[in-house]
Amino acid sequence: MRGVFVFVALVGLLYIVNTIDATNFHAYGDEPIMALGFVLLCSWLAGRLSARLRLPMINGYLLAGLFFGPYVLGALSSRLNLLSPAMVVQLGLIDNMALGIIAFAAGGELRLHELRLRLKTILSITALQSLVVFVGVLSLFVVLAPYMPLTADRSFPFALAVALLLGLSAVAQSPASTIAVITEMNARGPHTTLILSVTMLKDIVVLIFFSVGIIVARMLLSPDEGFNAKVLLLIGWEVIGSLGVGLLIGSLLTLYIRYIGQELPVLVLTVSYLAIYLSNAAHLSGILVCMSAGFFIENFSRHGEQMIQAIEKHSLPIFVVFFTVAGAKIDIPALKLMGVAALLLVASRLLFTYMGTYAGSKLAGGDFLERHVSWMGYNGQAGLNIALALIIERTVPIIGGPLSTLIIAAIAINEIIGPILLRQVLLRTGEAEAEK
Amino acid sequence: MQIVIGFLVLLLVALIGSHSLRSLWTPPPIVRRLFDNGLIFIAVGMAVGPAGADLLTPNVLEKSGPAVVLFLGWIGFLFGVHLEWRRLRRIALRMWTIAFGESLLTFALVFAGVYLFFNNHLQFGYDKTIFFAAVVTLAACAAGTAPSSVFLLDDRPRFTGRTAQAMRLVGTVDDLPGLLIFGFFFAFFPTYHIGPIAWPTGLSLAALTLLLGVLFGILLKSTMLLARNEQTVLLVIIGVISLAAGVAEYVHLSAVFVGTIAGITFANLSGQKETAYRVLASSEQTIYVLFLMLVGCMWSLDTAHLLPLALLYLGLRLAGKVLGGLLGHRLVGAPPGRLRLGGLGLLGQGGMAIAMAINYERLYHSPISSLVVTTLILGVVVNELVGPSLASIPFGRTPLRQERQQ
Repeated sequence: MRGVFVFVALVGLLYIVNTIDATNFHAYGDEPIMALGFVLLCSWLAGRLSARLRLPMINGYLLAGLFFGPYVLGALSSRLNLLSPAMVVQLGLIDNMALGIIAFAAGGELRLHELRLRLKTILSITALQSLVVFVGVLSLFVVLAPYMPLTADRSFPFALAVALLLGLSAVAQSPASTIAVITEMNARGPHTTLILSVTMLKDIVVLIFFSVGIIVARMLLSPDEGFNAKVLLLIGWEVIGSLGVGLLIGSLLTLYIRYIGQELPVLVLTVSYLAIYLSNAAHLSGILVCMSAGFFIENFSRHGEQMIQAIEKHSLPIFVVFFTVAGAKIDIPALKLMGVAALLLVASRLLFTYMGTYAGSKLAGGDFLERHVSWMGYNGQAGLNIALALIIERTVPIIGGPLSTLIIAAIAINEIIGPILLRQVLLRTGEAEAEK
Repeated sequence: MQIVIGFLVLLLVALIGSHSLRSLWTPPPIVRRLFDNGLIFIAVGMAVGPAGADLLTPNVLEKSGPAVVLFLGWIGFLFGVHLEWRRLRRIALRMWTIAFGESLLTFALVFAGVYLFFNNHLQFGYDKTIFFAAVVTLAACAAGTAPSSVFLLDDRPRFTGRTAQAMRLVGTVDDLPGLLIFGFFFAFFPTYHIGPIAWPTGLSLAALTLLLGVLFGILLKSTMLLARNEQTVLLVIIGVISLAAGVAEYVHLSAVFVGTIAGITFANLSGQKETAYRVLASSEQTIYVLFLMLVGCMWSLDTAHLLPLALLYLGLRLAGKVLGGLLGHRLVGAPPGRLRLGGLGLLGQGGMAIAMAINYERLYHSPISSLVVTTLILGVVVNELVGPSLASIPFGRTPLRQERQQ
């Protein structure tokens, strides 16, 4: 009840503040900081409400972002348009920091001795899940090509290129929401480690196959375009370079913790931000860089716990803003435009994820929960997937526009259902500390 | 984006550099003080800002606006949360007279001196708002004392008894009179108005300032009851302070002052102030490091009239503190002797003075605001450096330093 009172008071305050402003003069910074304060409090309250409804808190943050974003409250009243597209861009500066610390934390959660024990399972689930989802979605959309507005009356290579890119986008998953739910539920155990490891490994798989897929799609759409071998070198650089830079950062951070060890939260946040930003500039994967840095500190030094604590101490406000901004970016017009096709994509992705996980687990001799339940942990999609959709739009301009709209619409649905399903896995496997 | 990246790289260099240097080298006391109170980060900001290597462009403060507004609210709140009436009411009226008397005396001296200086040397035309904003800011910043500089006197041999008690109170509350004048100045001389605004409007804006502070204090109290652990407490505090500071600036009021009122309200209404204080203290250093580096970037040595104004400011502030100390010495009834110069122990200036200066710069930006801010930063640095040495006159040297000299 108190939460509702605070929530109503905040919305009322926002409305009043916007009415009493009498001048056009503003010093840069007042509106973003007001929006930040508002987002932190309201989204956190929405997260609490979500937890009461037995949903992950990040669903509350996402829905708060959607509610206060340009398509719901912003569309109803200009005085309440707090998370306008311009504001979302400004608050989006936190994206890099959030992605960095999420990847650091993810790397820190991967313990070498646990990975060694389950290496066969991790590899077989990653391989078969990726393969089944890719081939399954590709085949389905090739078969349905004559009935889809996007591909009807188009040539076979065109339909194949669309299906290929949809298949690749379906394989991609969001490490951010996976880590956020695992952290929120304080989950720990073999299934949690498995989900986290497969998610991270799939990140590398997507990195490689997405780049190749784009080339193949372009060749299908324009047969004159030849194969560019340089791309393979770039992919190699992206994966190996990221791991190398990550290990270097990890070892430097280890030295800092050992010999200086002060203001660790500031340092980790700063390094995370810089690593993500500079990696993008150097064609490296920022997530992979931070993840391998976290992995190094956890497994090759005695300071893993210290690093995780430094991250956890200040991470909540960053997570809340990150997921709220992600919610504000949920593209409602895209969802309206491509609703049916997006639902089909989401449903087929769920089905093939189950099939792939089942096959991979059976091959590795997994138990009942691993074969029949753990698939629910691999469905979240968010920022990384949107980035991939935008790459398609930019690099395959012939079909990029409508195709990225379809992918973004599917991401909007997966963004909401992914954390809910993951929460179910963690509860059913009994690994969620919060529930014990 | 490049500004953010550049700033973060510098922050990393400053963090690692300062701590490494400190662990490898034992600096002389005067330099050690720069490390201890974080002023080294101002120096780093100066070195890379327009006054130094010019790695960061002059608009850095404008671009880092959201962070600066948060810092302003944070510093105000941190000051306000110390002012709990249950504790303060035990202090005798005489002590309050000393604290506020010293503060107001320094304010009046600096105000009068700077008023005359500006009147005689600078041309303001008809814009009285810009004129008075500069004078009031310098005077308000001069009036306060950094509590940490007074607490550092604890190991001085003559820093005992009622004198020490009075000085500790002075250090805790003497920012308040200047801050009150500064905060209400925003209401009566709004940035968007040339000269003072009509009294009824000014009063209503002053009431709005107080109302906003009280409302955000109550909001924090209510929301804190929902926070279960330190992470969520931190989130709630950052959220409320951001909102309070953002709203204050949005309606052209002082973010520092609204933050202070919110802090006072929270401290006096909530049963969770200890938790809040613990969380604030744990993040305080992080906030100050970032804030001081940003402040350092604003340093502008080529400002005309800097040297005479800085000397005038330092001289008048010194005179105000010494005269205030004499008044206090008489009221406390301390034994005669060097303790009469106890005001020399009140020279340290801290985050509040810098916060007020930045708050002024953001909302009353004008050709002379750079002069005012640079003067204040210079004042803070000089006072932090020479303050401990001057404090040795009334209170003696620390035993460690005496041993070293022997």
